[in-house]
Amino acid sequence: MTRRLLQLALAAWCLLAWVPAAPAAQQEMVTDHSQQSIEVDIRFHGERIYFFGTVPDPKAEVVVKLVPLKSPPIKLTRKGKVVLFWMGVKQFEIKRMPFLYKIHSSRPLKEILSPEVAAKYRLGYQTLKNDMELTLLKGTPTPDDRDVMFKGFVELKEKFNLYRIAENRIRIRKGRLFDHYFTFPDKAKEGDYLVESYAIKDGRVIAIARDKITVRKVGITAWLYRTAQENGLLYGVLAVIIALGAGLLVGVFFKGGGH
Amino acid sequence: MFNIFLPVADMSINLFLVLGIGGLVGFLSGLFGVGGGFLLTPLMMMIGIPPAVAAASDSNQIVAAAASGAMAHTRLGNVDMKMGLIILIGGIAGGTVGVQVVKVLRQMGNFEFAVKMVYVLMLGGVGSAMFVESLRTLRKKAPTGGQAGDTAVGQPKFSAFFNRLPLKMHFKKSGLHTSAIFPFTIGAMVGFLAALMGVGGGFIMVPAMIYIIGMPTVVAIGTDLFQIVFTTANVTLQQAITNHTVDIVLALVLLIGSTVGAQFGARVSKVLKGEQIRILLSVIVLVMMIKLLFDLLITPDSLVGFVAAKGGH
Repeated sequence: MTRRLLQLALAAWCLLAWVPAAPAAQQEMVTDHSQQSIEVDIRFHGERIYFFGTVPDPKAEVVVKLVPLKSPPIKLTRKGKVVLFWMGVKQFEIKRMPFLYKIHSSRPLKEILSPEVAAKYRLGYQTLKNDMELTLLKGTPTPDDRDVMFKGFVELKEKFNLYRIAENRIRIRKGRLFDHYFTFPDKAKEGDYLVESYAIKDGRVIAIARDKITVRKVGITAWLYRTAQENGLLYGVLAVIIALGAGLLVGVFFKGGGH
Repeated sequence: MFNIFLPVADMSINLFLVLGIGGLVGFLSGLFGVGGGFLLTPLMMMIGIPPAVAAASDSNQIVAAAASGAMAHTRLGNVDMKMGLIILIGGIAGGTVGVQVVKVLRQMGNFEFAVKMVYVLMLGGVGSAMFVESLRTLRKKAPTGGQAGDTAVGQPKFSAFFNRLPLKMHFKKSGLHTSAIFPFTIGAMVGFLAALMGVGGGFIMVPAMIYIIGMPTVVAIGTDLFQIVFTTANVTLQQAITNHTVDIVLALVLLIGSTVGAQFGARVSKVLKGEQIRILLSVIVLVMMIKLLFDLLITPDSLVGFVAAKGGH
């Protein structure tokens, strides 16, 4: 991976050297990444992918957003105190909230984006919150539901490194080349992810470039995951047989076994 | 570097953390001669394994951990097969119902609450009964009567009661002539708890067999191990079919840890006296109970929880 990284860096620098100071009107952004896909195997514990790109205008700032292509609706509970104990008291369905959401930028979002532009491209937590569809499934609604659910949801996601906004994370070299990396955490689900890089000048988006990254499970991890989800009977029989075998084997090695 | 990806929990975890917890629980189980499932599920939850995956994978691990012991006891003739089968029929019924209850609780988004609550009640009850009883024995006061809670109860009162129940059978190995209703009932109860808590249930079953049914201690232990293998095998299978929560990688890593730990535990147990061991065990049980009780009482870190998706996790 390091070698691929060096190649990319080299390619990017060559590109800079070649292209003579591009006229502002051209407004093209070229991006690339260190890896096309991530393979989740038994040793997977998250992975970094490096991203590079050209900046079409020396005065432009860069914002990059990482989201999955698909994010199905999910169910959440809101906890409350019942007599003495904390337990789930309401249930909601949340729609239009990405499973994973990461933003990197070269300057604080508020300084470079107008609220309208931020809303259009869904940049920043506030835009997600405005967009969030919250449906109460069980329980009594209260006025603070939306705030509490959004805040709690984002906090849970941040805890697992699935949500993150890192302003000033992107460095722009000589006004022309930017680079940074995204970490795909261990809880990143299988599927296609979209990386959108925006060049922003005077509050407007002047160019967009897109990269696609695929996360997929491989090997025994993939087989166990799919069998467990799709063929519970086979998986269960296998789990019992393996456990019996392992237990008896252990009993032979250590008299008395693990019990 | 030393991480392992758990395919069903769908997360990465430090391998040595899981091995260490398995080792610790194995050590304690070797020391105390108990299964240790009641410590394993809460510890797994504490390190971030989803509660339903923790319980189901522990059931899977117990199949393995109990298998060789059950085999040895069968060979030594310590298993009352007839009694074991009746308890097992109950255990399979209870376990199957338990797994369905797990499913409903998960869809309600309150499985974690329910499992912690059941743990607090069970550990609290068993731990205090054990603590009081061993303290009393340490003070050399012979236990009189049945005030020590639900475990240490006099036998004759119950034998008389069972004699009036129908479905009486002769259990040759245990030397008993008693009704099959109670063994079936206790089997069903423990099977239900096994599904919910991810335990073998020896800490309820063995005292019930000795003090309530009136079986000889060695036969009780052998028969319990025999039925645990099949009860937890059934729970594992049902969890895999209904809730898709059995992580076989997690179960195997725990098995390796607990097997090694148990060897050390068994050695240390020879140094300590029986009553010291029991009082130590009751303290560990009570500490775990208090930790779980606090989890339920104090304001949680997050007011939001995820709900299991249909059929998955």
